[in-house]
Amino acid sequence: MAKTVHVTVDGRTIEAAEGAPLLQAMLDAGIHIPHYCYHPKLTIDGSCRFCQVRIEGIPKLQISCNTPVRDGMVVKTDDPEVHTVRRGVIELLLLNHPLDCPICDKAGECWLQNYSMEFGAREGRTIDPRRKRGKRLDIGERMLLDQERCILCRRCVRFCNEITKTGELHIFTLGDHSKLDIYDDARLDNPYSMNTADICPVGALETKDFHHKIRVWFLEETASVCPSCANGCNIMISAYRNRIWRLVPRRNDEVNDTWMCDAGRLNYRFVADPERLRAPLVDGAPATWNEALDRAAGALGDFRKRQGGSALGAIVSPHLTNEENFRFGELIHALGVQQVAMAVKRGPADDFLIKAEKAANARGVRELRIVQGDDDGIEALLGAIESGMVKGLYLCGDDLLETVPADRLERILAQLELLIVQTLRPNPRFARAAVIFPTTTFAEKDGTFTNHAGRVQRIRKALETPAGWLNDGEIFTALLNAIDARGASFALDRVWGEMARDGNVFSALDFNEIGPRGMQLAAAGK
Amino acid sequence: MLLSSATHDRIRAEIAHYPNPRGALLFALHQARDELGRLGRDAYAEVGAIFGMRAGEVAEVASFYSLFTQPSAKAVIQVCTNLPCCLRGARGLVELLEHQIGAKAGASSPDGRFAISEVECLGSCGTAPVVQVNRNPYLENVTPDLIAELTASPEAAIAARHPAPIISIIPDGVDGYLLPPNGAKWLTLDDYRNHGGYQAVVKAGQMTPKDIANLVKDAGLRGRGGAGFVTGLKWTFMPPKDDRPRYLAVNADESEPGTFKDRQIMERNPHLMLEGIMIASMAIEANAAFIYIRGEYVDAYQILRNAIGEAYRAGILGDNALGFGRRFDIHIQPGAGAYICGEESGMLESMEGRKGQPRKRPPFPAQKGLWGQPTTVDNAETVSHVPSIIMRGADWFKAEGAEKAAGHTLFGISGHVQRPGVYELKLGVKLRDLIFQYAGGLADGRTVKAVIPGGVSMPVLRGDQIDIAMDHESVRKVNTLLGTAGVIVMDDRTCMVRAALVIARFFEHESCGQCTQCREGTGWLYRVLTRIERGDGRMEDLATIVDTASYLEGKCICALSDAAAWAASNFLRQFRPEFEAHIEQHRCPLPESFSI
Ligand SMILES: Cc1cc2nc3c(=O)[nH]c(=O)nc-3n(C[C@H](O)[C@H](O)[C@H](O)COP(=O)(O)O)c2cc1C
Ligand code: SF4
Ligand code: SF4
Ligand code: SF4
Ligand code: FES
Ligand code: FES
Repeated sequence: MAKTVHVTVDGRTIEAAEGAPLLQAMLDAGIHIPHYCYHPKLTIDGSCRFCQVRIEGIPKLQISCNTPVRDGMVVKTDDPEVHTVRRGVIELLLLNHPLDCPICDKAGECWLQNYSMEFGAREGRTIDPRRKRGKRLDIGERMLLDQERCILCRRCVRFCNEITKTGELHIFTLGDHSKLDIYDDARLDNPYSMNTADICPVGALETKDFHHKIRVWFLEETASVCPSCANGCNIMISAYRNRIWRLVPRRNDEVNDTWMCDAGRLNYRFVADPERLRAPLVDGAPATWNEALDRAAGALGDFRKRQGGSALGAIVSPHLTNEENFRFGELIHALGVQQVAMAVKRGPADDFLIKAEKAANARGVRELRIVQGDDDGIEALLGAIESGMVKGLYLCGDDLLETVPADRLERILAQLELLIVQTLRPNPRFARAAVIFPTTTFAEKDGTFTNHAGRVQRIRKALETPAGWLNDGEIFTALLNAIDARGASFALDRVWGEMARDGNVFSALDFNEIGPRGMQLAAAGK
Repeated sequence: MLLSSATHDRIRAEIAHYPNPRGALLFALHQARDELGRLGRDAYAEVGAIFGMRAGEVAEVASFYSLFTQPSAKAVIQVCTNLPCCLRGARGLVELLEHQIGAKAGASSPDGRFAISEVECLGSCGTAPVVQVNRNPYLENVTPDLIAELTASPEAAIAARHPAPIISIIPDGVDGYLLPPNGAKWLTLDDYRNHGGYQAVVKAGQMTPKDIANLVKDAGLRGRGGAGFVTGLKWTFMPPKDDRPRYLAVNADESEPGTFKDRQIMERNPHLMLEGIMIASMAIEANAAFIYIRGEYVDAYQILRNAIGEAYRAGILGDNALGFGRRFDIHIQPGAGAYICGEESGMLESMEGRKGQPRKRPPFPAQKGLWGQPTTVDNAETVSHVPSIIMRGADWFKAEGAEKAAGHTLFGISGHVQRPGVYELKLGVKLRDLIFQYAGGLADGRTVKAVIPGGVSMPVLRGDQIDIAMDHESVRKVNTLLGTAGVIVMDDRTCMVRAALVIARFFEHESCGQCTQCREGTGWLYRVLTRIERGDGRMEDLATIVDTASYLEGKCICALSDAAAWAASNFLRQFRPEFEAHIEQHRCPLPESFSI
């Protein structure tokens, strides 16, 4: 750890780590310093020349991004020359900037817009024609480029050179002819390409997904976690009118720095899938929640009485939260279930963020010791069904459909005498299910996920569910109460209290202390 | 494969000279362009494969350099249209060419034989106007007759005028030590040795690195590349010697309009420069020196390459280098037509095979220079002073100059004088004498209206300010700087708005484009001045010029932005009524002025 030292900025003393970029130290202290090219996760570029400040003892202004903090540094930002810098950068950038704000996706969160309001003149004085450049260029599967809006800060170029190391973006020629572009057929298609739109301070790089969709000022942001793989990248869910319009990464240096993959970012449409189950199904027909709960509790109780708990199997979902799965564990324990397994969809991975397990909470299920074995108990459970030992199944989630070959799955489901399912969409394979409950997505509930590295992170409810709707944890709780007369509740702090008493790895954590960066499970939990 | 195996062999051989192969990238692109006549996707891919680079990366680098982006034709006729050449009729030549080959500047003739391209200063302002066809030796003092010859047969016209006239002179009464005797060229090792060459490096070999640096510091040698920093002092900025390699990077990019002196040393006294490089390298304990020479200087490049080859064969360079008692290497690298590659850190970037965009500082080159190693950058003329300092001592050197600026310098003088050229003179010579005594004054009846004392980056003087001594300190009294000592003289017919406009066009063209203010500000200054010159100016544009200059000055990575700011704001400050007259009369009030 670097030594903490003191720096004075316009008379105010701030603490900073020695050697850190002065700009970052000032930003961390809440001092607003305009900047474009500096980005905490990229190498220092020093070219936008916006962040200049006066430092006592140095005759020329210095760019604060490339100035390491030293103890006792005396910094001035309220200085006539510093004001000239700010006015100059804004006036000069606006000379050639197309005033596209009404149709620019970045409007409302555009740094040029904001800084112009803050530092710019109220009147333009150029009468010369503006530079013409390529607009809405299709530079990648998921990306668009507007060269007229580009302010040449090179953030995106550095991202492609330093983070993905794919180098698709170039600045060609020189001077005020400089132009950002891809070259020939080497398109901006890397698996992280859409991050360039986030770091672009203006609307030069836009994602096709968000293009011309909605003004950003309508969006309500909820801090959450990407549900699409075991990495658990931190995100903001941007919602409006109870619909998700985009996911953007949120900084967490322990998990994803400030990036996320394109696949994860784009994987939100399922939430608004028109095919989604809107109500439970009992024997294939829509039913009320109470009817469905009664039926499920009755069927499960019956089954246990007739066949014994050991004839009942369960499949846990790696998409549900730690709290929900804790409750599910209690439910199946109460039912006397012996054969429990987890199916996890797998896919491509890399050595950066993307993990092979395409679910956010598989590690959480394992930490709760609900499942065992290298394959999380799948073969044992399927074998037990095939051999006729297990005749009933409580199935959470859809991953089984994609991990077991279709004909085998068909046979297995056909053998079952009782099937209870919690799933997103109706599926002909579940035709014989006694009850199908709609599952609730990550965006519609609160709770925690445990990522591949054992970091427990909060997800938060960004969307409302219809009146009377129960999320997965509430379904488990209702069934547990019906079967075992527990009087349990699914209030999260109550669940965490129970988890603590249970003595599992989560008992070492305090739910209320899980901050924006999550909390690491103790090493023993590994 | 587009490129012949001979070309591939040459590129591979070149790569061997660098600690990192990419040092040979610009060389390779020159080879490719010379062979193919144009560069495109496939050439970039093929060159890229040699260097382990993607086509796009190579294309990005190439797009930065004007020599790689010229229009394609069998003969690309590049006409210099910077200020000194324009002052001597370059515009007329362009128009004549356009008429004769039936194509506009920037385009190719319908039959593909010719293309015309307007280029920035070729570093030969003393023989303006200057034309270069492809990468052939220059055509100098070009006349309309020569244009006719050229369009008939470029090869014949070039051959008939090669080698170029010698335009550097040691005036009577000057004990010259940079130039060989008037009219002579010492191109061979024997020439140089017969006149005492390579004795200084032996003498320096007996001294400690620190003593060499101190001697040169005591002598008061200041850099001749433009900034005038004390050379011996700069050498002491190198970190203590450790096991890292360290380098001397010699700046022979010479692209500051009005500056054409380094070429005279390189084309007439190449071994002097090599000897100076060796001694400077001893002082900083360098393992090797790399000379970065502008890509257009094909003759000087070849002459230096030959001289280096001779020095290796004679055992002066190589394993047991003369005076070193250890291995020492010199290699020469071509640039490719970008002024900013003369800025020292832009040069280092270019030498490493990238776009020549200056580096932010810190780190400074002495800490992290060429290929990340400790490096000193010295101008080509600067090092050429060193052998004489070693031989004759600090006191002699101090006596050969002005009080705070010791030694001779090569003054270049161009524009409206009778005998433009390069004069080896003591620093401190009177500007008036330089113009009237050495350069023969102006044409009959003409008077001096304006003088730029040291390349277009330096603030302009009025004709009534020429009674100053030309040394680093004295010129400050009239708020200008000595720069490269390249003096540009403009007579009373010259339009100052136009002069400012040509310079603004130059900076707009040559800004590397990374700093916001420089990229956008050079463009704006150019557009505003264009409008004023055309007669469409408004009085408030003058305030815009002043403001824009204040946005640029002292705010960017390198001094190009300062130069652009100074040029515009000083022309305005010195000649404001002329700017106002353009605006009020909606036209240029000087009907006989040069055209641009
Ligand atoms: C825009 C710009 C262009 C320059 N061009 C040259 C050049 O062509 N040749 C040169 O020697 N120095 C040039 N310089 C100065 C160099 O940065 C550097 O100061 C010089 O090479 C150091 O050598 P010296 O100390 O021997 O003068 C240029 C500087 C700037 C800012
Ligand atoms: S596209 Fe955006 S991020 Fe990239 S250089 Fe331009 S302004 Fe910067
Ligand atoms: S890497 Fe994984 S967690 Fe991160 S955004 Fe992609 S899918 Fe989501
Ligand atoms: S000042 Fe101009 S030329 Fe120098 S680095 Fe900045 S943009 Fe490039
Ligand atoms: S943020 Fe410091 S120069 Fe761009
Ligand atoms: S050679 Fe043309 S201006 Fe210098």
